[in-house]
Amino acid sequence: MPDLVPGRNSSTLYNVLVGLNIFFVLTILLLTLYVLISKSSTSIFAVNISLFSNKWSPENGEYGLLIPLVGSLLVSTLAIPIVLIFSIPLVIAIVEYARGSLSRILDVIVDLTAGLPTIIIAYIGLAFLSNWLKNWVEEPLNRFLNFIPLFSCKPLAGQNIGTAALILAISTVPFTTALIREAYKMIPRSLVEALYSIGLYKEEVAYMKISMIKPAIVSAILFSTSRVLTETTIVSLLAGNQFVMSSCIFTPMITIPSLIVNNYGYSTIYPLLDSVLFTSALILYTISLALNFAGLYLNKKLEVIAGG
Amino acid sequence: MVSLRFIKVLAIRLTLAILSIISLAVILLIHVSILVNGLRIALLNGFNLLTGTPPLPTESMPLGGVGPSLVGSLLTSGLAILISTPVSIILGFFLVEHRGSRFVGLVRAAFQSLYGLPTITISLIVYTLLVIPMRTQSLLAGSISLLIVALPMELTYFENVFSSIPLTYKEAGYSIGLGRLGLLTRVVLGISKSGLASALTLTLARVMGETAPVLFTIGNALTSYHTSLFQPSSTITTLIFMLASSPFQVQFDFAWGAVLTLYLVYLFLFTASKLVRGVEL
Repeated sequence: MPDLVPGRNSSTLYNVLVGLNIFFVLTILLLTLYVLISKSSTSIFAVNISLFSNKWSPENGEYGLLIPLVGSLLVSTLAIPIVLIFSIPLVIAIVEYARGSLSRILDVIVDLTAGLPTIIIAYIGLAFLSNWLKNWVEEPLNRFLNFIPLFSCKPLAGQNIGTAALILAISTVPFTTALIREAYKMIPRSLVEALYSIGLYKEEVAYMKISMIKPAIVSAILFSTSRVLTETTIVSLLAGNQFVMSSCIFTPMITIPSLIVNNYGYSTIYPLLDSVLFTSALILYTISLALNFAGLYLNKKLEVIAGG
Repeated sequence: MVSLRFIKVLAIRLTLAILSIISLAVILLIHVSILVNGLRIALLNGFNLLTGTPPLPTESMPLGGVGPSLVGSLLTSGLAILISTPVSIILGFFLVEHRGSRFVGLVRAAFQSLYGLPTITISLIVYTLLVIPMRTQSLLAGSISLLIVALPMELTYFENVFSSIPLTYKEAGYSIGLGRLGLLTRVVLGISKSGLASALTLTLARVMGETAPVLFTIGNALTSYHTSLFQPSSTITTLIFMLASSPFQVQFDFAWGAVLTLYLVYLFLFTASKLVRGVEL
Protein backbone atom coordinates (compact mmCIF):
# COMPACT_ATOMS: atom_id res chain seq x y z
CA MET A 1 0.00 0.00 0.00
CA PRO A 2 1.64 3.28 -1.05
CA ASP A 3 1.79 6.34 1.19
CA LEU A 4 -1.04 8.51 -0.08
CA VAL A 5 0.28 11.74 1.35
CA PRO A 6 4.00 12.34 1.38
CA GLY A 7 4.94 12.63 5.06
CA ARG A 8 8.58 12.31 4.23
CA ASN A 9 10.11 12.76 7.67
CA SER A 10 7.90 10.29 9.46
CA SER A 11 8.26 7.73 6.70
CA THR A 12 12.06 7.98 6.88
CA LEU A 13 11.88 7.45 10.63
CA TYR A 14 9.62 4.46 10.03
CA ASN A 15 12.07 2.95 7.57
CA VAL A 16 14.96 3.49 9.96
CA LEU A 17 13.06 1.89 12.84
CA VAL A 18 12.05 -1.12 10.76
CA GLY A 19 15.58 -1.46 9.41
CA LEU A 20 17.15 -1.32 12.87
CA ASN A 21 14.80 -3.93 14.24
CA ILE A 22 15.28 -6.29 11.33
CA PHE A 23 19.02 -5.86 11.77
CA PHE A 24 18.67 -6.69 15.47
CA VAL A 25 16.76 -9.90 14.83
CA LEU A 26 18.97 -10.99 11.96
CA THR A 27 22.04 -10.39 14.12
CA ILE A 28 20.64 -12.67 16.82
CA LEU A 29 19.83 -15.36 14.26
CA LEU A 30 23.18 -15.14 12.49
CA LEU A 31 25.16 -15.15 15.74
CA THR A 32 23.16 -18.18 16.85
CA LEU A 33 23.84 -20.04 13.63
CA TYR A 34 27.47 -18.99 13.63
CA VAL A 35 28.07 -20.34 17.14
CA LEU A 36 26.20 -23.57 16.42
CA ILE A 37 28.05 -24.28 13.19
CA SER A 38 31.53 -23.10 14.17
CA LYS A 39 31.43 -24.95 17.49
CA SER A 40 30.14 -28.18 16.04
CA SER A 41 32.46 -28.18 13.01
CA THR A 42 35.44 -29.14 15.21
CA SER A 43 33.90 -32.49 16.05
CA ILE A 44 32.23 -33.03 12.68
CA PHE A 45 35.57 -32.73 10.90
CA ALA A 46 37.61 -34.51 13.58
CA VAL A 47 39.05 -37.61 11.97
CA ASN A 48 39.56 -39.82 15.00
CA ILE A 49 36.01 -39.94 16.32
CA SER A 50 32.86 -41.44 14.94
CA LEU A 51 29.76 -39.42 15.89
CA PHE A 52 27.30 -42.09 14.80
CA SER A 53 28.66 -44.97 16.79
CA ASN A 54 26.89 -46.32 19.83
CA LYS A 55 29.87 -45.92 22.16
CA TRP A 56 30.00 -43.01 24.58
CA SER A 57 32.97 -42.61 26.87
CA PRO A 58 34.57 -39.16 26.76
CA GLU A 59 37.53 -40.39 28.84
CA ASN A 60 38.45 -42.75 25.97
CA GLY A 61 37.67 -40.19 23.30
CA GLU A 62 34.50 -41.99 22.17
CA TYR A 63 31.58 -39.71 21.42
CA GLY A 64 28.90 -41.74 19.67
CA LEU A 65 25.63 -39.84 19.42
CA LEU A 66 23.60 -42.75 18.10
CA ILE A 67 22.05 -43.75 21.43
CA PRO A 68 20.82 -40.27 22.42
CA LEU A 69 19.52 -39.73 18.89
CA VAL A 70 17.62 -43.01 18.96
CA GLY A 71 16.39 -42.12 22.46
CA SER A 72 15.04 -38.78 21.25
CA LEU A 73 13.32 -40.31 18.25
CA LEU A 74 11.96 -43.20 20.31
CA VAL A 75 10.49 -40.96 22.99
CA SER A 76 8.70 -38.89 20.31
CA THR A 77 7.47 -41.93 18.41
CA LEU A 78 6.02 -43.33 21.63
CA ALA A 79 4.51 -40.08 22.88
CA ILE A 80 2.79 -38.73 19.76
CA PRO A 81 0.32 -41.63 19.18
CA ILE A 82 -0.68 -41.42 22.86
CA VAL A 83 -1.18 -37.67 22.47
CA LEU A 84 -3.47 -38.20 19.46
CA ILE A 85 -5.50 -40.98 21.07
CA PHE A 86 -6.40 -38.62 23.89
CA SER A 87 -6.50 -35.19 22.29
CA ILE A 88 -8.85 -35.90 19.37
CA PRO A 89 -11.60 -37.33 21.64
CA LEU A 90 -11.07 -34.38 23.97
CA VAL A 91 -11.62 -31.93 21.09
CA ILE A 92 -14.82 -33.72 20.09
CA ALA A 93 -16.03 -33.82 23.70
CA ILE A 94 -15.41 -30.10 24.22
CA VAL A 95 -16.94 -28.93 20.96
CA GLU A 96 -19.74 -31.43 20.37
CA TYR A 97 -20.87 -32.65 23.78
CA ALA A 98 -20.15 -29.86 26.26
CA ARG A 99 -22.63 -27.01 25.99
CA GLY A 100 -22.52 -23.30 26.77
CA SER A 101 -20.49 -22.32 29.79
CA LEU A 102 -19.14 -25.85 30.39
CA SER A 103 -17.60 -25.81 26.93
CA ARG A 104 -16.07 -22.38 27.60
CA ILE A 105 -14.66 -23.48 30.96
CA LEU A 106 -13.12 -26.59 29.39
CA ASP A 107 -11.61 -24.42 26.65
CA VAL A 108 -9.96 -22.22 29.27
CA ILE A 109 -8.69 -25.22 31.27
CA VAL A 110 -7.15 -26.73 28.15
CA ASP A 111 -5.47 -23.41 27.23
CA LEU A 112 -4.27 -22.93 30.80
CA THR A 113 -2.75 -26.40 30.96
CA ALA A 114 -1.24 -26.13 27.47
CA GLY A 115 0.98 -23.26 28.60
CA LEU A 116 1.83 -24.69 32.03
CA PRO A 117 5.61 -24.66 32.58
CA THR A 118 6.89 -28.14 31.73
CA ILE A 119 9.17 -28.14 34.76
CA ILE A 120 5.98 -28.36 36.88
CA ILE A 121 4.81 -31.45 34.99
CA ALA A 122 8.32 -32.91 35.21
CA TYR A 123 8.32 -32.41 38.98
CA ILE A 124 4.86 -33.93 39.39
CA GLY A 125 6.09 -36.82 37.27
CA LEU A 126 9.03 -37.34 39.55
CA ALA A 127 7.08 -36.81 42.77
CA PHE A 128 4.36 -39.42 42.24
CA LEU A 129 3.15 -39.86 38.65
CA SER A 130 6.13 -41.99 37.55
CA ASN A 131 5.49 -44.44 40.39
CA TRP A 132 1.77 -44.59 39.60
CA LEU A 133 2.51 -45.22 35.95
CA LYS A 134 5.03 -47.92 36.88
CA ASN A 135 2.56 -49.69 39.18
CA TRP A 136 -0.64 -49.25 37.19
CA VAL A 137 0.45 -49.12 33.55
CA GLU A 138 3.95 -50.46 33.04
CA GLU A 139 3.89 -53.49 35.34
CA PRO A 140 0.52 -54.75 34.04
CA LEU A 141 1.73 -54.28 30.46
CA ASN A 142 4.86 -56.27 31.29
CA ARG A 143 2.87 -58.98 33.10
CA PHE A 144 0.23 -59.57 30.45
CA LEU A 145 1.91 -58.56 27.19
CA ASN A 146 5.55 -59.53 27.75
CA PHE A 147 5.61 -61.53 24.52
CA ILE A 148 5.73 -58.12 22.75
CA PRO A 149 9.38 -57.00 22.69
CA LEU A 150 8.42 -53.42 23.66
CA PHE A 151 7.07 -54.62 27.01
CA SER A 152 9.43 -57.56 27.53
CA CYS A 153 11.47 -56.25 30.48
CA LYS A 154 10.31 -55.54 34.00
CA PRO A 155 10.33 -51.83 34.88
CA LEU A 156 12.88 -51.61 37.69
CA ALA A 157 12.46 -47.93 38.51
CA GLY A 158 9.90 -45.27 37.67
CA GLN A 159 12.47 -43.52 35.50
CA ASN A 160 12.66 -45.04 32.03
CA ILE A 161 12.02 -44.08 28.45
CA GLY A 162 8.39 -45.30 28.60
CA THR A 163 7.63 -43.13 31.64
CA ALA A 164 9.27 -40.14 29.99
CA ALA A 165 7.13 -40.70 26.89
CA LEU A 166 3.94 -41.02 28.94
CA ILE A 167 4.63 -37.85 30.93
CA LEU A 168 5.66 -35.97 27.80
CA ALA A 169 2.36 -37.13 26.31
CA ILE A 170 0.48 -35.83 29.35
CA SER A 171 2.17 -32.45 29.03
CA THR A 172 1.50 -32.30 25.27
CA VAL A 173 -2.17 -33.40 25.16
CA PRO A 174 -3.57 -29.93 26.07
CA PHE A 175 -1.25 -28.24 23.54
CA THR A 176 -2.29 -30.57 20.70
CA THR A 177 -5.93 -30.37 21.76
CA ALA A 178 -5.82 -26.57 21.50
CA LEU A 179 -4.24 -26.74 18.01
CA ILE A 180 -6.73 -29.29 16.65
CA ARG A 181 -9.67 -27.52 18.32
CA GLU A 182 -8.98 -24.27 16.45
CA ALA A 183 -9.05 -26.06 13.10
CA TYR A 184 -12.14 -28.09 14.10
CA LYS A 185 -14.05 -24.92 14.96
CA MET A 186 -13.07 -23.35 11.63
CA ILE A 187 -15.23 -25.79 9.63
CA PRO A 188 -18.07 -23.72 8.11
CA ARG A 189 -21.44 -24.12 9.78
CA SER A 190 -23.20 -24.73 6.49
CA LEU A 191 -21.14 -27.89 5.91
CA VAL A 192 -21.98 -29.20 9.37
CA GLU A 193 -25.66 -28.47 8.81
CA ALA A 194 -25.51 -30.31 5.50
CA LEU A 195 -24.06 -33.35 7.30
CA TYR A 196 -26.82 -33.33 9.89
CA SER A 197 -29.48 -32.81 7.22
CA ILE A 198 -28.74 -36.19 5.65
CA GLY A 199 -29.55 -37.81 8.98
CA LEU A 200 -26.11 -38.58 10.41
CA TYR A 201 -25.54 -39.21 14.09
CA LYS A 202 -23.41 -36.72 16.01
CA GLU A 203 -20.53 -39.23 16.14
CA GLU A 204 -20.66 -39.71 12.38
CA VAL A 205 -20.64 -35.93 11.87
CA ALA A 206 -17.63 -35.68 14.20
CA TYR A 207 -15.87 -38.41 12.21
CA MET A 208 -16.54 -36.51 8.97
CA LYS A 209 -15.32 -33.24 10.50
CA ILE A 210 -12.11 -34.86 11.74
CA SER A 211 -11.43 -36.25 8.27
CA MET A 212 -12.03 -32.76 6.81
CA ILE A 213 -9.25 -31.24 8.93
CA LYS A 214 -6.65 -33.93 8.25
CA PRO A 215 -4.01 -31.41 7.09
CA ALA A 216 -4.49 -29.49 10.35
CA ILE A 217 -4.08 -32.69 12.34
CA VAL A 218 -0.90 -33.55 10.48
CA SER A 219 0.45 -30.06 11.14
CA ALA A 220 -0.53 -30.40 14.82
CA ILE A 221 1.38 -33.70 14.88
CA LEU A 222 4.45 -31.99 13.40
CA PHE A 223 4.36 -29.10 15.89
CA SER A 224 3.77 -31.49 18.79
CA THR A 225 6.62 -33.75 17.67
CA SER A 226 8.93 -30.75 17.56
CA ARG A 227 7.80 -29.78 21.06
CA VAL A 228 8.30 -33.31 22.41
CA LEU A 229 11.66 -33.73 20.70
CA THR A 230 13.11 -30.51 22.11
CA GLU A 231 11.57 -30.77 25.58
CA THR A 232 14.38 -30.83 28.10
CA THR A 233 13.25 -30.92 31.70
CA ILE A 234 10.87 -33.87 31.49
CA VAL A 235 13.35 -36.17 29.74
CA SER A 236 16.32 -35.17 31.83
CA LEU A 237 14.43 -35.86 35.06
CA LEU A 238 12.44 -38.91 33.94
CA ALA A 239 14.11 -40.86 31.13
CA GLY A 240 16.74 -42.40 33.40
CA ASN A 241 19.72 -41.19 31.34
CA GLN A 242 21.59 -44.43 30.65
CA PHE A 243 23.61 -45.16 27.53
CA VAL A 244 21.66 -48.27 26.72
CA MET A 245 19.90 -49.30 23.56
CA SER A 246 17.08 -51.74 24.02
CA SER A 247 13.89 -52.73 22.27
CA CYS A 248 12.11 -52.69 25.61
CA ILE A 249 10.61 -49.33 26.54
CA PHE A 250 10.95 -49.86 30.29
CA THR A 251 14.73 -49.39 30.07
CA PRO A 252 16.33 -46.13 31.22
CA MET A 253 17.68 -44.33 28.15
CA ILE A 254 19.18 -40.98 27.28
CA THR A 255 17.98 -38.34 24.78
CA ILE A 256 19.82 -35.44 23.14
CA PRO A 257 18.47 -32.69 25.46
CA SER A 258 19.29 -34.73 28.55
CA LEU A 259 22.73 -35.57 27.13
CA ILE A 260 23.42 -31.84 26.91
CA VAL A 261 22.08 -31.12 30.40
CA ASN A 262 24.04 -33.95 31.99
CA ASN A 263 27.36 -33.42 30.21
CA TYR A 264 27.79 -29.71 29.66
CA GLY A 265 29.29 -29.33 33.10
CA TYR A 266 32.20 -31.61 32.08
CA SER A 267 32.84 -29.88 28.77
CA THR A 268 36.01 -28.22 30.02
CA ILE A 269 37.51 -31.54 31.09
CA TYR A 270 37.32 -33.48 27.81
CA PRO A 271 38.73 -31.83 24.70
CA LEU A 272 36.00 -32.55 22.17
CA LEU A 273 32.97 -32.82 24.43
CA ASP A 274 31.93 -29.20 24.01
CA SER A 275 31.95 -29.47 20.24
CA VAL A 276 30.17 -32.85 20.26
CA LEU A 277 27.36 -31.42 22.39
CA PHE A 278 27.00 -28.55 19.92
CA THR A 279 26.78 -31.10 17.11
CA SER A 280 24.01 -32.92 18.95
CA ALA A 281 22.23 -29.56 19.39
CA LEU A 282 22.64 -28.87 15.69
CA ILE A 283 21.08 -32.23 14.81
CA LEU A 284 18.16 -31.47 17.12
CA TYR A 285 17.73 -27.99 15.63
CA THR A 286 17.73 -29.34 12.08
CA ILE A 287 15.02 -31.88 12.85
CA SER A 288 12.92 -29.36 14.78
CA LEU A 289 13.26 -26.74 12.04
CA ALA A 290 12.16 -29.22 9.37
CA LEU A 291 9.13 -30.22 11.46
CA ASN A 292 8.14 -26.61 12.13
CA PHE A 293 8.42 -25.48 8.53
CA ALA A 294 6.50 -28.52 7.31
CA GLY A 295 3.78 -27.71 9.86
CA LEU A 296 3.61 -24.07 8.80
CA TYR A 297 3.42 -25.10 5.13
CA LEU A 298 0.49 -27.41 5.85
CA ASN A 299 -1.26 -24.69 7.86
CA LYS A 300 -0.93 -22.30 4.95
CA LYS A 301 -2.46 -24.92 2.68
CA LEU A 302 -5.34 -25.36 5.09
CA GLU A 303 -5.97 -21.60 5.14
CA VAL A 304 -6.31 -21.73 1.37
CA ILE A 305 -8.84 -24.55 1.66
CA ALA A 306 -10.85 -22.79 4.38
CA GLY A 307 -10.70 -19.47 2.54
CA GLY A 308 -11.70 -20.95 -0.80
CA MET B 1 -34.17 -54.30 15.50
CA VAL B 2 -31.00 -52.43 16.31
CA SER B 3 -28.98 -51.70 13.22
CA LEU B 4 -25.26 -52.37 12.91
CA ARG B 5 -24.77 -48.66 12.26
CA PHE B 6 -26.35 -47.77 15.60
CA ILE B 7 -24.11 -50.26 17.42
CA LYS B 8 -21.08 -48.70 15.77
CA VAL B 9 -22.21 -45.22 16.81
CA LEU B 10 -22.72 -46.42 20.38
CA ALA B 11 -19.24 -47.97 20.42
CA ILE B 12 -17.70 -44.72 19.18
CA ARG B 13 -19.70 -42.73 21.73
CA LEU B 14 -18.45 -44.98 24.55
CA THR B 15 -14.82 -44.80 23.38
CA LEU B 16 -14.98 -41.02 23.07
CA ALA B 17 -16.46 -40.74 26.55
CA ILE B 18 -13.82 -42.97 28.15
CA LEU B 19 -10.85 -41.34 26.43
CA SER B 20 -11.98 -37.76 26.98
CA ILE B 21 -12.81 -38.44 30.63
CA ILE B 22 -9.33 -39.93 31.17
CA SER B 23 -7.66 -36.89 29.55
CA LEU B 24 -9.73 -34.45 31.58
CA ALA B 25 -9.08 -36.41 34.77
CA VAL B 26 -5.31 -36.30 34.20
CA ILE B 27 -5.45 -32.55 33.43
CA LEU B 28 -7.44 -31.91 36.61
CA LEU B 29 -5.10 -34.18 38.61
CA ILE B 30 -2.18 -31.93 37.63
CA HIS B 31 -3.92 -28.79 38.91
CA VAL B 32 -5.28 -30.42 42.07
CA SER B 33 -1.96 -32.01 43.00
CA ILE B 34 -0.15 -28.66 42.64
CA LEU B 35 -2.70 -26.93 44.84
CA VAL B 36 -2.98 -29.61 47.53
CA ASN B 37 0.74 -30.35 47.88
CA GLY B 38 1.78 -26.75 47.35
CA LEU B 39 -0.63 -25.46 49.99
CA ARG B 40 0.80 -27.93 52.49
CA ILE B 41 4.23 -26.31 52.09
CA ALA B 42 2.76 -22.81 51.82
CA LEU B 43 0.81 -23.16 55.09
CA LEU B 44 3.89 -24.51 56.82
CA ASN B 45 5.95 -21.49 55.76
CA GLY B 46 3.42 -18.67 55.54
CA PHE B 47 4.65 -15.44 54.01
CA ASN B 48 8.24 -16.62 54.40
CA LEU B 49 7.70 -18.78 51.28
CA LEU B 50 7.94 -15.64 49.15
CA THR B 51 10.87 -14.01 50.92
CA GLY B 52 12.98 -16.75 52.52
CA THR B 53 15.69 -18.93 51.05
CA PRO B 54 15.39 -22.67 50.25
CA PRO B 55 16.07 -25.22 53.05
CA LEU B 56 19.50 -26.79 53.49
CA PRO B 57 19.79 -30.58 53.23
CA THR B 58 20.46 -30.79 56.96
CA GLU B 59 17.11 -29.37 58.02
CA SER B 60 14.41 -31.71 59.19
CA MET B 61 11.38 -29.78 57.90
CA PRO B 62 10.81 -28.28 54.42
CA LEU B 63 11.04 -24.76 55.82
CA GLY B 64 12.17 -21.88 53.66
CA GLY B 65 11.24 -19.70 50.73
CA VAL B 66 11.85 -18.97 47.10
CA GLY B 67 12.63 -15.25 47.45
CA PRO B 68 15.88 -14.85 45.47
CA SER B 69 14.66 -17.09 42.66
CA LEU B 70 11.30 -15.28 42.48
CA VAL B 71 13.10 -11.96 42.11
CA GLY B 72 15.42 -13.52 39.50
CA SER B 73 12.44 -14.87 37.54
CA LEU B 74 10.65 -11.53 37.55
CA LEU B 75 13.77 -9.57 36.59
CA THR B 76 14.96 -11.85 33.77
CA SER B 77 11.60 -12.32 32.09
CA GLY B 78 10.67 -8.68 32.69
CA LEU B 79 13.86 -7.48 31.01
CA ALA B 80 13.41 -9.93 28.12
CA ILE B 81 9.86 -8.69 27.49
CA LEU B 82 10.95 -5.07 27.84
CA ILE B 83 13.31 -5.54 24.90
CA SER B 84 11.17 -7.86 22.82
CA THR B 85 7.95 -5.80 22.98
CA PRO B 86 9.02 -2.70 20.98
CA VAL B 87 10.77 -4.92 18.43
CA SER B 88 7.66 -7.07 18.07
CA ILE B 89 5.37 -4.03 17.72
CA ILE B 90 7.37 -2.53 14.88
CA LEU B 91 8.13 -5.78 13.09
CA GLY B 92 4.61 -7.17 13.63
CA PHE B 93 3.19 -4.04 12.00
CA PHE B 94 5.79 -4.25 9.24
CA LEU B 95 4.99 -7.90 8.48
CA VAL B 96 1.26 -7.15 8.23
CA GLU B 97 1.54 -3.89 6.26
CA HIS B 98 3.92 -5.22 3.64
CA ARG B 99 2.43 -8.70 3.40
CA GLY B 100 3.19 -10.42 0.14
CA SER B 101 6.59 -8.90 -0.58
CA ARG B 102 9.54 -11.23 -0.90
CA PHE B 103 11.58 -9.37 1.70
CA VAL B 104 8.81 -9.85 4.27
CA GLY B 105 8.87 -13.55 3.49
CA LEU B 106 12.59 -13.54 4.27
CA VAL B 107 12.16 -11.72 7.59
CA ARG B 108 9.38 -14.10 8.53
CA ALA B 109 11.56 -17.09 7.70
CA ALA B 110 14.26 -15.65 9.99
CA PHE B 111 11.76 -15.47 12.84
CA GLN B 112 10.45 -18.93 12.25
CA SER B 113 14.00 -20.23 12.31
CA LEU B 114 14.45 -18.66 15.74
CA TYR B 115 11.15 -20.25 16.81
CA GLY B 116 12.46 -23.69 15.91
CA LEU B 117 15.54 -23.30 18.06
CA PRO B 118 15.40 -25.95 20.82
CA THR B 119 15.46 -24.11 24.15
CA ILE B 120 18.42 -26.11 25.49
CA THR B 121 20.39 -25.00 22.42
CA ILE B 122 19.71 -21.36 23.34
CA SER B 123 21.35 -22.07 26.68
CA LEU B 124 24.47 -23.46 24.99
CA ILE B 125 24.72 -20.53 22.60
CA VAL B 126 24.26 -17.76 25.15
CA TYR B 127 26.74 -19.55 27.40
CA THR B 128 29.32 -19.37 24.61
CA LEU B 129 28.53 -15.79 23.60
CA LEU B 130 28.07 -14.15 26.99
CA VAL B 131 28.94 -16.33 29.96
CA ILE B 132 32.43 -17.29 28.78
CA PRO B 133 33.53 -13.73 27.85
CA MET B 134 31.99 -12.31 31.05
CA ARG B 135 33.51 -15.14 33.11
CA THR B 136 30.31 -15.46 35.10
CA GLN B 137 26.76 -16.58 34.73
CA SER B 138 24.52 -13.59 35.17
CA LEU B 139 21.06 -12.09 35.22
CA LEU B 140 21.93 -10.46 31.90
CA ALA B 141 22.81 -13.76 30.23
CA GLY B 142 19.56 -15.23 31.57
CA SER B 143 17.58 -12.31 30.16
CA ILE B 144 19.20 -12.63 26.75
CA SER B 145 18.37 -16.36 26.69
CA LEU B 146 14.75 -15.57 27.50
CA LEU B 147 14.74 -12.76 24.92
CA ILE B 148 15.55 -15.30 22.21
CA VAL B 149 12.58 -17.36 23.38
CA ALA B 150 10.26 -14.35 23.71
CA LEU B 151 10.98 -12.58 20.40
CA PRO B 152 9.53 -15.02 17.87
CA MET B 153 6.69 -15.93 20.23
CA GLU B 154 5.59 -12.35 20.89
CA LEU B 155 5.99 -11.37 17.24
CA THR B 156 3.69 -14.18 16.14
CA TYR B 157 1.06 -13.10 18.67
CA PHE B 158 1.38 -9.42 17.68
CA GLU B 159 1.19 -10.20 13.98
CA ASN B 160 -2.11 -11.99 14.59
CA VAL B 161 -3.42 -9.01 16.57
CA PHE B 162 -2.43 -6.53 13.86
CA SER B 163 -3.85 -8.59 11.03
CA SER B 164 -7.24 -8.74 12.77
CA ILE B 165 -7.67 -4.95 12.47
CA PRO B 166 -10.26 -4.18 9.76
CA LEU B 167 -8.80 -2.56 6.66
CA THR B 168 -11.30 0.32 6.82
CA TYR B 169 -9.62 1.73 9.94
CA LYS B 170 -6.24 1.74 8.21
CA GLU B 171 -7.72 3.31 5.08
CA ALA B 172 -9.31 6.02 7.20
CA GLY B 173 -5.92 6.71 8.77
CA TYR B 174 -4.12 6.92 5.43
CA SER B 175 -6.92 9.11 4.02
CA ILE B 176 -6.33 11.84 6.59
CA GLY B 177 -2.71 11.96 5.60
CA LEU B 178 -0.96 9.78 8.15
CA GLY B 179 2.28 8.07 7.19
CA ARG B 180 3.00 4.49 8.25
CA LEU B 181 4.49 5.54 11.57
CA GLY B 182 1.55 7.87 12.22
CA LEU B 183 -0.86 5.07 11.37
CA LEU B 184 0.94 2.74 13.76
CA THR B 185 1.10 5.14 16.72
CA ARG B 186 -2.23 6.95 16.31
CA VAL B 187 -4.59 4.37 14.87
CA VAL B 188 -3.32 0.81 15.05
CA LEU B 189 -1.89 0.87 18.60
CA GLY B 190 -5.10 2.48 19.89
CA ILE B 191 -7.35 -0.13 18.34
CA SER B 192 -5.19 -3.09 19.26
CA LYS B 193 -4.00 -2.10 22.72
CA SER B 194 -6.05 -4.69 24.59
CA GLY B 195 -5.03 -7.40 22.13
CA LEU B 196 -1.39 -6.41 22.47
CA ALA B 197 -1.59 -6.26 26.27
CA SER B 198 -3.13 -9.71 26.30
CA ALA B 199 -0.44 -11.10 23.98
CA LEU B 200 2.31 -9.46 26.02
CA THR B 201 1.02 -10.96 29.27
CA LEU B 202 0.74 -14.38 27.68
CA THR B 203 4.31 -14.17 26.39
CA LEU B 204 5.49 -13.15 29.85
CA ALA B 205 3.67 -16.12 31.35
CA ARG B 206 5.19 -18.55 28.86
CA VAL B 207 8.69 -17.09 29.13
CA MET B 208 8.70 -17.15 32.91
CA GLY B 209 7.96 -20.88 32.81
CA GLU B 210 11.01 -21.70 30.67
CA THR B 211 13.75 -23.76 32.29
CA ALA B 212 16.14 -25.00 29.62
CA PRO B 213 17.19 -21.62 28.13
CA VAL B 214 18.39 -20.30 31.48
CA LEU B 215 19.78 -23.58 32.81
CA PHE B 216 23.45 -22.80 31.99
CA THR B 217 23.22 -19.04 31.77
CA ILE B 218 21.64 -17.59 34.88
CA GLY B 219 23.70 -19.27 37.55
CA ASN B 220 22.77 -20.91 40.77
CA ALA B 221 22.46 -18.13 43.36
CA LEU B 222 19.63 -19.58 45.41
CA THR B 223 20.29 -17.99 48.75
CA SER B 224 21.24 -14.38 48.13
CA TYR B 225 19.42 -11.50 46.51
CA HIS B 226 21.46 -10.31 43.56
CA THR B 227 19.94 -7.56 41.50
CA SER B 228 23.00 -6.47 39.55
CA LEU B 229 22.76 -7.48 35.90
CA PHE B 230 26.28 -8.86 35.98
CA GLN B 231 25.91 -11.16 38.97
CA PRO B 232 24.60 -14.73 38.98
CA SER B 233 21.00 -15.24 39.98
CA SER B 234 18.43 -18.03 39.60
CA THR B 235 14.85 -18.43 38.47
CA ILE B 236 12.02 -20.39 40.07
CA THR B 237 12.23 -22.87 37.23
CA THR B 238 15.93 -23.58 37.74
CA LEU B 239 15.27 -23.75 41.49
CA ILE B 240 12.62 -26.43 40.92
CA PHE B 241 15.01 -28.29 38.61
CA MET B 242 17.73 -28.17 41.25
CA LEU B 243 15.41 -29.24 44.09
CA ALA B 244 13.88 -32.00 41.96
CA SER B 245 17.35 -33.45 41.33
CA SER B 246 18.27 -33.21 45.02
CA PRO B 247 18.84 -36.49 46.84
CA PHE B 248 17.62 -34.95 50.10
CA GLN B 249 13.94 -35.52 50.90
CA VAL B 250 13.58 -32.13 52.61
CA GLN B 251 14.69 -30.25 49.52
CA PHE B 252 12.71 -32.48 47.17
CA ASP B 253 9.57 -31.97 49.22
CA PHE B 254 10.09 -28.22 49.48
CA ALA B 255 9.97 -28.01 45.66
CA TRP B 256 6.15 -28.21 45.95
CA GLY B 257 6.29 -24.72 47.45
CA ALA B 258 8.29 -23.43 44.51
CA VAL B 259 5.95 -25.24 42.11
CA LEU B 260 2.93 -23.57 43.75
CA THR B 261 4.56 -20.12 43.55
CA LEU B 262 5.36 -20.55 39.85
CA TYR B 263 1.86 -21.91 39.24
CA LEU B 264 0.20 -18.94 40.95
CA VAL B 265 2.31 -16.40 39.05
CA TYR B 266 1.48 -18.21 35.80
CA LEU B 267 -2.22 -18.39 36.74
CA PHE B 268 -2.27 -14.67 37.53
CA LEU B 269 -0.67 -13.73 34.20
CA PHE B 270 -2.89 -16.14 32.27
CA THR B 271 -6.05 -14.75 33.90
CA ALA B 272 -4.88 -11.19 33.31
CA SER B 273 -4.31 -11.93 29.64
CA LYS B 274 -7.83 -13.40 29.31
CA LEU B 275 -9.44 -10.49 31.20
CA VAL B 276 -7.66 -7.85 29.15
CA ARG B 277 -8.89 -9.44 25.97
CA GLY B 278 -12.41 -9.29 27.40
CA VAL B 279 -12.49 -5.50 27.14
CA GLU B 280 -11.46 -5.45 23.49
CA LEU B 281 -13.35 -3.15 21.13
